[in-house]
Amino acid sequence: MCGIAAVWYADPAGGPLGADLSRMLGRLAHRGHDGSGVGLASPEGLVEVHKTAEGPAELAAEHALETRTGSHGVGHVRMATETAVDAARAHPFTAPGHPEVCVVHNGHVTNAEQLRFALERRGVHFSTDNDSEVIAAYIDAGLSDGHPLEDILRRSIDELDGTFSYVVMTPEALGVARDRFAAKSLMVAETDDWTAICSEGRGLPGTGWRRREVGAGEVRTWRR
Amino acid sequence: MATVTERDIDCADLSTREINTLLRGLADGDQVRLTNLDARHNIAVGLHGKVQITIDGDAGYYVAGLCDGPDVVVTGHAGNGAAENLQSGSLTVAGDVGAGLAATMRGGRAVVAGSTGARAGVLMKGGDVLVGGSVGAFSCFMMQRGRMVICGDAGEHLGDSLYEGKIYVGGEIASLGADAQAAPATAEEEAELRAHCEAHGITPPPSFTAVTSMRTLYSFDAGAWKSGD
Repeated sequence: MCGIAAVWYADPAGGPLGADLSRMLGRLAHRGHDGSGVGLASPEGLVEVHKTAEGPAELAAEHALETRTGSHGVGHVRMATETAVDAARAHPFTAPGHPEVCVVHNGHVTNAEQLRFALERRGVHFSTDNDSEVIAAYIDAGLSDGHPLEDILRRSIDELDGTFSYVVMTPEALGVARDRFAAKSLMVAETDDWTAICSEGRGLPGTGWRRREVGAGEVRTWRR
Repeated sequence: MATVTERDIDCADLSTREINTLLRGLADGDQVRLTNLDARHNIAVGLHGKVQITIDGDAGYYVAGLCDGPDVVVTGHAGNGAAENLQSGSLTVAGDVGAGLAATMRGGRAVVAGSTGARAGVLMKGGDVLVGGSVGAFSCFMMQRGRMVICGDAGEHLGDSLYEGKIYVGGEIASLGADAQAAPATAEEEAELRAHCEAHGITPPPSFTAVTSMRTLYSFDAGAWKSGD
């Protein structure tokens, strides 16, 4: 199953990112007990990733997430299906060699080995056998080739096979993509002040705003 | 003389099993309001009898699924699989719902004031669904009976491989599925649909498109099958 959370603040100065992500992950904890992690972007353009084989409560305590601010970020609770349960295989996954590109993913990319082989021929050195790391490397390869993030995500709808809802974060952007069958739930809620993305409505903060599901094959990005 | 219970159930300190056990103990005519549910999944599932359940706020996955009789109202949003395999009774949602609304529904009514995710009404075998907003991709896939009224737009592949049943769309249809055909609703249908929407507090669109099966994908001779040949 897995659970995805992401936050984007309209104000470039950011907001209480660690607390918001931590609260969202706590409410998605039932979606995965095999690890958790966050990626935090600062207004200065720095990205840091923290992940663990433990749950979101342990993650928050270990990294004092309640005190962390940031401009945007992603989070994940993992239900392992194919690869080992350890911190290295928890999400977010960063692109090999480019830790500023990080991905949280719910689903299963069935042509990951094909893509992995193609990326390895480009010189990418993977650190795990996880399909989600392939998504991060795939996006990073597109960015390195000079393609806009939205174009890469749109292309991924055709080129990634299987089921996927994922969120990618770079220092200046956030993007979501969902496969054509909309197999893995993903919702977006927006106000004038923030955008929140979450696998389930119950993970979204508060009420009183309109929320909607990301559509089948839909791609969307937010950029500063 | 039968006793009718009207009460609030504060769910904050109750497990999902405890909440559903309380709901199963209700008698016909009982009315309850669930508060502090916190959008939990699998609430009010598999219930029988004419009870009225109001969920104050959001509900999670499968709310009112597999029910036979209850009238369930959600004042907020609901998650995936709302009213899935509903036999009779109703689900009314003030906000939006996730994917798979009323999948395999056999009877009863589901009314959603907002919009739904993908696969609304797949494999419907009866019942009546009214959506005030839009529905996602693959809605009404392999629908067999019943009615789906969509006041807003429909996503891609609407009514793919539907056998029978009827779909009405007030907005744009992104694409029709295999064997689905669209035509303007008749004047009688328009009048009935407008009244239907208004009866449920939903503003009807100016007009509806009716989507039905072309029946070119039928793979067996229903007449022969019935006669045992």
